[in-house]
Amino acid sequence: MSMANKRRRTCTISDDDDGEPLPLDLLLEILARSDVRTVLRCAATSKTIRRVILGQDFHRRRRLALLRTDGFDPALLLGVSYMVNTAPVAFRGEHLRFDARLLRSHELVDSRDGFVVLQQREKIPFHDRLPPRCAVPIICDLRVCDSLTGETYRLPPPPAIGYGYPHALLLTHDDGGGGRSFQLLAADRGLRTQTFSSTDGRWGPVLETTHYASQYPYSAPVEHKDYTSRPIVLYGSGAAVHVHWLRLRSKECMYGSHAPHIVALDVGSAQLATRIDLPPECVSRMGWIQNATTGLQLATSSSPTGSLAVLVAEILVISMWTLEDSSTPAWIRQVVIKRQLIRKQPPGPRTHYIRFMGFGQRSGTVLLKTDSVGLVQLNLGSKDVVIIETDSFNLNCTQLCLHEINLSSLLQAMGQ
Amino acid sequence: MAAPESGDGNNGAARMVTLISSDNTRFEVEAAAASLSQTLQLTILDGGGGGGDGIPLPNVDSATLSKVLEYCIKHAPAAANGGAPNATAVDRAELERFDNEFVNIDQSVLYSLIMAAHNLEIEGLQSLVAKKVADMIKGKSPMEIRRTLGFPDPTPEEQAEMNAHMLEYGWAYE
Repeated sequence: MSMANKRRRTCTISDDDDGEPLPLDLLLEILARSDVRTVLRCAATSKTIRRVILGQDFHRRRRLALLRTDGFDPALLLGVSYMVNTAPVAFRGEHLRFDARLLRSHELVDSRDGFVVLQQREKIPFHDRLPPRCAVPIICDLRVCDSLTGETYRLPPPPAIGYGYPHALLLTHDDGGGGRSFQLLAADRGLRTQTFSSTDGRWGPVLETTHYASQYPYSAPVEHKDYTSRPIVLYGSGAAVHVHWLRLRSKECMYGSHAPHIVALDVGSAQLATRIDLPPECVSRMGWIQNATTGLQLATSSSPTGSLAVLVAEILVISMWTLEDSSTPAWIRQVVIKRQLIRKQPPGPRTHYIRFMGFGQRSGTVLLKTDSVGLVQLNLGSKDVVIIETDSFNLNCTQLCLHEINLSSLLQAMGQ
Repeated sequence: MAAPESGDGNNGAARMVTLISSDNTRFEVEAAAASLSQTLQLTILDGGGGGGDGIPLPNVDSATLSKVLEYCIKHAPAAANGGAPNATAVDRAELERFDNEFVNIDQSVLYSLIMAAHNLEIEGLQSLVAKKVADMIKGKSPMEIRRTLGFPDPTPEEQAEMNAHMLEYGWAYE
């Protein structure tokens, strides 16, 4: 090994050249506590650092450092794209390669780890249309945009199954191939699935969901009357992937079998679906002003290995109900923030109506809209409230998307 | 440096040990404080450092060691309570205030400190200093980061790589 190589294996954290060498171990400790932009800039500085941060040890330490804080890393949110009336707007993330003008003709299906899934609208959007509906007869144009590289993938509709649940973007595990890749899961009304893999460039085989256990009978998504939310995806140990949708059969009746509930689909080796009921208290605490399609939001309690949670726009507060153990479900309620803290400076009129607009799992960002303030970003970890847009009257949740990144997959893609 | 009288009376609080820096300065501290160092803990448990003997620390100078011990003395009572589950919010706030002020120091002292914390394996101090350095490199350009971390100046090919990276990952440089 040449002298030059040897010199680069350790580095001196010092102003003068003859300072003591800083062990890589310490460098790891420092980077484990750095925000994602700093980590990437450090990665740019040398091969040594890239090698170090690509290692398992770095991910383990980072996870530990994250746990010591609140479990979310706000820096993983790069920006928010949305439409105001017909003009595209980017909140932060000016360097993202996402063309927000697409939100005029397309609506958001899912977004995760720098990828955005869009499908073409059937008609010109009208005010306050409900978020992703079910049983869309034909999807004319389905595309996945990589907002980091600017690449766009046009996908044919899943060939063997119809439309049922909103598609779910899945994270692909590192298969050593390098480059950025994604999977898109489509599930029909009977929860038969097909998955598109960007590596293969096609839809995989149809998989049947083998079991469905519930106190109440399974209700397939039906057009118009009912509502299915965008999915939240959790990763368990090994290859276990859990996809969750919030379902509501009718806005009028919210109890019994019609109560808002979660459909949990475990994908992986065996494919199993379960209905998870929300505690009735969730609904009653919303009061009569909110309705469940806008006053409930699926979330996670922390990142990256958190529990499933539901955010509830209660009369006085926003609360988070966390599902402690999915085998014998126990919901734990926690207050996130008082409603009165979400306001303009100087304080305007009180906020009566909250409409959840989306959730970013990596940064813990909740997007919501209120009648008196506008579009607001709330971080679940720091509880910071940022007003993004005051002119949000016509904005609906299919016209905006969060851009988040996943540091480990990004570093993998960067390679050595 | 005098250790504050700790009224707990448990954990053999009264026992003192002597540490000797690389420039031969002797420091007498409570064994409980010095034991925050994983490296020293076993030696002290074996009865080392007592009497006139002292434990030599050939890679820590007196300025750095006095700073390290300042940290240990402050944190020893909380550590003795097993991570301080019964500490009051006031105590925790006081420790936090101390920590913030403690790392508000000259860069060169900070670097000696991070090495000492590493060699002596004082977990809390390592973490505190690492966080401080992380804050220092936050928002800096790759070139400034290299300088702060003491990397040699980049070769032309490394420079080209850095430029290409900045173009490709523009959002990371906003």
